[in-house]
Amino acid sequence: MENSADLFGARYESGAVIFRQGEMGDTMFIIQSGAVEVSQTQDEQQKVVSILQKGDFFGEMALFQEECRTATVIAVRPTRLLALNRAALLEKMRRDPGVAFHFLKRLILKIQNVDRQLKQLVAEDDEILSAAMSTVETIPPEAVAADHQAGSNSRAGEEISIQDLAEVWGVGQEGEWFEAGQVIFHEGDPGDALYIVLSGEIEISQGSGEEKFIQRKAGSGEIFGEWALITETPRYSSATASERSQLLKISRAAFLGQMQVRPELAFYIIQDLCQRLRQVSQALVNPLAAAEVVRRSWQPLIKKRAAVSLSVISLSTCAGCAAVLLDDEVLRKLLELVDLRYCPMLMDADEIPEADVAIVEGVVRLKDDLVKLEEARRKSKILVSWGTCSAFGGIPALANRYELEELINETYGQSSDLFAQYLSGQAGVGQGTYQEHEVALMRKAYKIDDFVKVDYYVPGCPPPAGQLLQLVGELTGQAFSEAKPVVCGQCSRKPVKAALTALDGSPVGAAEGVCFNSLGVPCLGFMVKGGCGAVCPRAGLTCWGCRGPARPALQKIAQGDSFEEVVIDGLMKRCQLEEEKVSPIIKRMNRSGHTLFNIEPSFGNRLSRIR
Amino acid sequence: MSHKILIQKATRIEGNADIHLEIEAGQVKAARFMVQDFRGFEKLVQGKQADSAPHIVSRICGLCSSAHQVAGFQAVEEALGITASPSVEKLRAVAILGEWIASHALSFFFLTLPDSIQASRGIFDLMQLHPEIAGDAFLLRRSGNRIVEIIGKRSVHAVAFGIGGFHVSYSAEEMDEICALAATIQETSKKLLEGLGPIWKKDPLPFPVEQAFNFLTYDEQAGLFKAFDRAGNQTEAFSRENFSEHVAELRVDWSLAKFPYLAGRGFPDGMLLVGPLSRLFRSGGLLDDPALSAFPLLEQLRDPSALRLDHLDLCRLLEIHWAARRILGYMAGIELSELAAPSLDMDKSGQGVGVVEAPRGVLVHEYVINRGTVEKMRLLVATQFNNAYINLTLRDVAERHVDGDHLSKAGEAMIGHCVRVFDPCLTCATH
Repeated sequence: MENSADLFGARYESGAVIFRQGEMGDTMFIIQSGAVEVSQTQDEQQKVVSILQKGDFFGEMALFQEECRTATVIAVRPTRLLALNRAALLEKMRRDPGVAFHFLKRLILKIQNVDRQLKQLVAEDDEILSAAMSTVETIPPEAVAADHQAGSNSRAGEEISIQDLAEVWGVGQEGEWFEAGQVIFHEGDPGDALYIVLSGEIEISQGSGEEKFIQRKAGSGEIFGEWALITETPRYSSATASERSQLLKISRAAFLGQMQVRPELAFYIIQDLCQRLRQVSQALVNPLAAAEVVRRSWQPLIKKRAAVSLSVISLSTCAGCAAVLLDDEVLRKLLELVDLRYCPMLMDADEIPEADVAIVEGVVRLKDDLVKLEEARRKSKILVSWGTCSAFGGIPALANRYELEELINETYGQSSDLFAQYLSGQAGVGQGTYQEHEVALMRKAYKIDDFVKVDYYVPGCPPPAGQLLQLVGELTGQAFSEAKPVVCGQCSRKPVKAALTALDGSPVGAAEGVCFNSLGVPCLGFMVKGGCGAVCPRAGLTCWGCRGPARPALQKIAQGDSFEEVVIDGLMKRCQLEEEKVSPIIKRMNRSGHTLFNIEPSFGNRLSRIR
Repeated sequence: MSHKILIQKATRIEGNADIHLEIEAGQVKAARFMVQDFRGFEKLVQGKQADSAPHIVSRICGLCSSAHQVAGFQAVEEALGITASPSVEKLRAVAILGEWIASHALSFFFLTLPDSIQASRGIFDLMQLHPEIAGDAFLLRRSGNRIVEIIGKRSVHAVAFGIGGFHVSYSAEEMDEICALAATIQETSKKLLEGLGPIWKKDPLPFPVEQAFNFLTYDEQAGLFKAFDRAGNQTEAFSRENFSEHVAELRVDWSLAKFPYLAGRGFPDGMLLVGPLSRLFRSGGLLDDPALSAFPLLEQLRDPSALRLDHLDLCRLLEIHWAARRILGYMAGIELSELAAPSLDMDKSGQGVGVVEAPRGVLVHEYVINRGTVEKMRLLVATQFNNAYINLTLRDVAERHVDGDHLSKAGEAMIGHCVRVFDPCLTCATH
């Protein structure tokens, strides 16, 4: 029986509790089959952290010191678990060094996975990003040092000391010395050794020169470079000594060679990794409390502080979106951050260059627009939809009610015009053949994300010029996005109590300072993203939504409500009217040129990328 | 045998166009300004409410959006039998002139002046090489835009314009600010007109001699379109209602911009030219303002037979100064109490034509309104009128600079420059 449990693990029924948060424990568990649910109680709320399956492990921190469990684990299916305390694990590793190797690999992959989840979290949640960004300047150096000390203190009283490691791996007790500024390895180099810091500090970073971004600093007792040892991939980051440092280098061959003889050494690395895993897992559960850890997982999309290269791409547009950038205050501030590489309206250029950021205004109306758009996408790291046309289609998309032939006929009359040919030939303004000089039009006016991936959207007709500065600041990690909930927040009109019987009023002659909706004049400001200063309602026009739907509206759209439904529900609530009184306004809005009624459900999922 | 030169893009203009030349054995076989913009405003506005239409057509162009809005409101008012007060007309005129100033400053300093100093990076080179001039250019632009912003509450796609009046009320301080801005513009443009000489080296661009054409402008006081020949003699005058009969259009397969011409003269003799040069000939223009006679540069414009196409940008610079003076004149006659837009019964029908001299030339909106809804709309917009002439000028410049089976270096520069001199706005021309 004992043998069977040892080999195949103990069996747990579905619903069985493996351990509870707060209990003391000294064993880790490996899942042989089945699945378990890991949950934590936080502020009286039970929150499921993850579901683990065959091959996963949990409870690993208990291997290093007996401690309180930080989570509750319950089997959700009939499950077999292999329980190991430290002695048992060491014994296993002695018998089969592959066990250590496998464990290390799983640990590293798990850390990478949590790291990725943290990055995602930061990218999608403005509040977390703000908290993370706010730690940039505020961590005092002493706190960082203390952080390192805490790490190495946990190994005090361990049976393995650094001297032991040095002795075993045959490197002199001194290790290798690196001067301040010396590079240990570069991003992209082949990696075949890990390093243990005996003294000093190593800076782990990505990028170089102006683009350098420091991910973390490894201090005494900490490990770096272990990814390469286990996963055989090129170095993910560069390592540079930030002060004179002493390092122990352990090559892959040496590591594997010694594993069988002294598996405790793998333990040292496992412990470091487990610490790191715990740190990032906790950050994932409660990111706001672990802002500094979160920040280390996050990198700005553009690793520069200035000279961000920018292209301005104009498709079929009125040029108003570009025109708002031609104000000298805006332009001067922009040029401090940005190196304008392409803008045919202002500069001669042969072709679209490579750039960090491309802003695209206008709709795809001509085939040539599509060619330009795709080239801009290929040649830019970040593509921004600038203005309502490129985000939603805008006013030109009103033409989509008609077939292309109707548009052409209206403006150009009949397509074959013999008289014109005669006349134009006389003046030497000759006709070309249609095939040779075809100026081709698309069937519809398209928004740009119908064709390419768009990284950010800044809607507006025209968009608020300052928003471009704000966005570039965000992309370079120098600013974080500001909340601008709805247009109403910036409007000078205030709601008043009113018993409305209809919503068919006109904004002309409306009482100043009173909310249009209160006056029975339908205005969409309450569900439209702010940031425009509420120019239109302040100046006597009802909001038509050029900034796009606000967060709550977008969330409803993502869940399947149509834009019309969101409008009707919203107006019903605000104006206290029944549906029959409200729904006729949709027809009125269509006839006045409102353009957002074709917003797609998938747009609702892009919430985190709209500014 | 044939050596085609396709100069891919016309740069430092508004909108998209390719310049296409075909040269064979020292002969220019074809010279084409291939305009590539179109959005279909004439169709998409059909079925829309008449009070929304001007805000929709505003989006034809971000550089002259107020001109489109005012023309639109004028057309709707005429169709529905509504008369705006003189104060409303004056304040609208002030907004349009503010837009002129911003637009001319953009055209002159950002787009064409760089050619004089071989600055392919336009305003960015100007900021390095002549920071004071760049600073003045920005000041002019900012001031012009601020005037539009005070009146319309936003300079690109204004909000406060309405049928019969404005949607907001204005304070005396706001009116004073407009006057102060106009005074700044006057001063700054005077300084530039007097001091720009040294860096402003221009290659003369003569009119293509063999072809007759017609300067077209709109005389607001008389309420008439007027056409003038090359020598400056008035040849035709017609009212807004008769516009459609007098102006016809051609289309070709290689450009999305059409070719308007005077129907009575046929094509090509009915070719048109609108813009600052054409405006010289109407009464009350640059030549009639005594204050402008103080500038020696104005003398170049007095003799019609000595006029050249490159005088277009001189006119623009002078028009900035002239516009500032006109603004001050209008502002004196505005009654704040007569500006509010009235509540209206929109359920009416009719036809109306709105005409505005936009920065680049005459802009015409013709609306047919059926029970408060736009049934049909015809637009002829500034640069559109110049289309044929731009093509002809390209051919002329190419012929003067042909060298075997390609263009000389000077010719290549001139080709790009001659298009810029017209200050084309192609999104307007094609709508």
